[in-house]
Amino acid sequence: MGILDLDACIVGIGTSDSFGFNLGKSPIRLQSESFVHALADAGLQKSSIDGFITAKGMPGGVDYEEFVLSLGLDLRWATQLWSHGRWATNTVLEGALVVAAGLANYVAIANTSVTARGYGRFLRELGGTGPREGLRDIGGGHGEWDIHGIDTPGAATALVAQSYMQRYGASGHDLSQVALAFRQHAALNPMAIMRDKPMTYADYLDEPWIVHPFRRPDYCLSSEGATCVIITTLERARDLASVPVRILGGHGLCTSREDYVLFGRPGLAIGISPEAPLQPDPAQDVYHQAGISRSDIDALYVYDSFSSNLWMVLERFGFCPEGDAWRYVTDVGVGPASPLPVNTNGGLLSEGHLLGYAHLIEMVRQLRGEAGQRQLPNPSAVQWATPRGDSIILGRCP
Amino acid sequence: MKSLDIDPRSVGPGPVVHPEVAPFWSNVAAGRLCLQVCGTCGIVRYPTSPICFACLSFDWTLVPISERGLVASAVIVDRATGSPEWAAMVPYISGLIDMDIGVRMPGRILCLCGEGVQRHSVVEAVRVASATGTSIFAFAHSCIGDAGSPPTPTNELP
Repeated sequence: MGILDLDACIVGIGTSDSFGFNLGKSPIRLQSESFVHALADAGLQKSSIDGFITAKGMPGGVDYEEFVLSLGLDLRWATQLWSHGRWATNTVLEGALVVAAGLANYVAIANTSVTARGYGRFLRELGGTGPREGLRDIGGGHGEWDIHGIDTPGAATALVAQSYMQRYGASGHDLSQVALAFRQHAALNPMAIMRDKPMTYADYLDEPWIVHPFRRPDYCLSSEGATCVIITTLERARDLASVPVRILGGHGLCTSREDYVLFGRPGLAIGISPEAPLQPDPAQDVYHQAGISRSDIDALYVYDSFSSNLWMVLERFGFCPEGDAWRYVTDVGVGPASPLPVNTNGGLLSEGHLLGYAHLIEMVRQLRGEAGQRQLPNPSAVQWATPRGDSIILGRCP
Repeated sequence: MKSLDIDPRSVGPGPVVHPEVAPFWSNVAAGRLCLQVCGTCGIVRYPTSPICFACLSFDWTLVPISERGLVASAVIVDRATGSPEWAAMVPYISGLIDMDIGVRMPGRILCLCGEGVQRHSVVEAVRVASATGTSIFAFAHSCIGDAGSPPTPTNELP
């Protein structure tokens, strides 16, 4: 038993009926589908849900009022965070803390993405495209600076990848190994948007540059879909239909002036932060929290908004020494045959951009043994981790 | 700072100028690259902020800094999807510059020979126009030449 000893587990998972580029459904429709599926998965009635947490999805998403009114919920806990993809850890850990503290019995966490080219085109008057944070005095959290031509998270993260590759000697071929591996996983996932689009290295090279060193497959998909996760205590979980999955360990998002760029890594000298050697990272406390060691992790799930994020996570969490992650990914691999498969759902690069919550849903499926063709052999602990240092370790209940 | 009369097709969006940051931008407009120095602890800071991140003092002055810096990281943007101004002028270079004073600053890198995208290349701050009329700073590689000589449109970048 780890030191976290949090009386909380995931008992319900659900997604919209499908993920896609243009589903023709509103955010509230998509989120309602995910909620109904999660309720059915847990064997709960909607009247049991008394807590709700959302980061409002992207770009407009569904706010908590719209959700409560549309679905006729009666809540005693509601939280809404900033509309960004960075909150998967915080929302789930807050849900766990809320049920463990008795502030609510069953907390639903739901988030929805639509695209500007998809249903978002009908919702522009609602402020669907979000603020241009790269115009703030301090620039954007991904390292965007609109007035200097780094006007998207992708361009900003290209600076991360470029800096890493120049400093440690990784090549474009090494970078491609991330997207190629995740595409292999996606081929085994019926929900993955790119499941029928196999990709070879030659195919990768045929894809256009967006911002060097990123080609199109290094970018997450701009996609539509919704997810819902339901959390309750261990005792309540025992009365439910589903196999509960325990939240073994967690670590929050790390941020400081020295390390604020979301898809960088401490010491990489991105944004205004200085260059420094990689130090032992407090984010690695997550293993201590869970009472396991890194080598006990059966599969890793990474917030892969951009391919280079994987290198950041492997080094930040100690899977690889500083500057060595690219070599590990190229030589050992992270695809279906790897000793440590990464993003068996296909990730944001090949399943769809579900803000990280679809990774957590995949982790639950793997631990329950419900992952179909891509099922790992009897996993006992799987880890979610991001370049920002936030992480969750899930495991089977004893 | 030298002023570069860049091609009108190569003008990007302007900053949000509000009263507390206006002195920074008016210095840029006058050709001076000035950063805030804390009136209490003396630390030099960027970006502009009303409070010192080190000692929380609200006292500061703007002082001119050396316009020379080294490229810390830079990228060639082939497709810009955030704003129409940038989308219209691809490909271009932008990056992060380690200024001689020890502060890192972002900026577009004006370069025709391609060396400006390389780590540790020497660049110099220059004044350029923006779409809102506010002058902003960018960085020029030595291949760009003297003040006033208009660089070739950036779509001829190698």
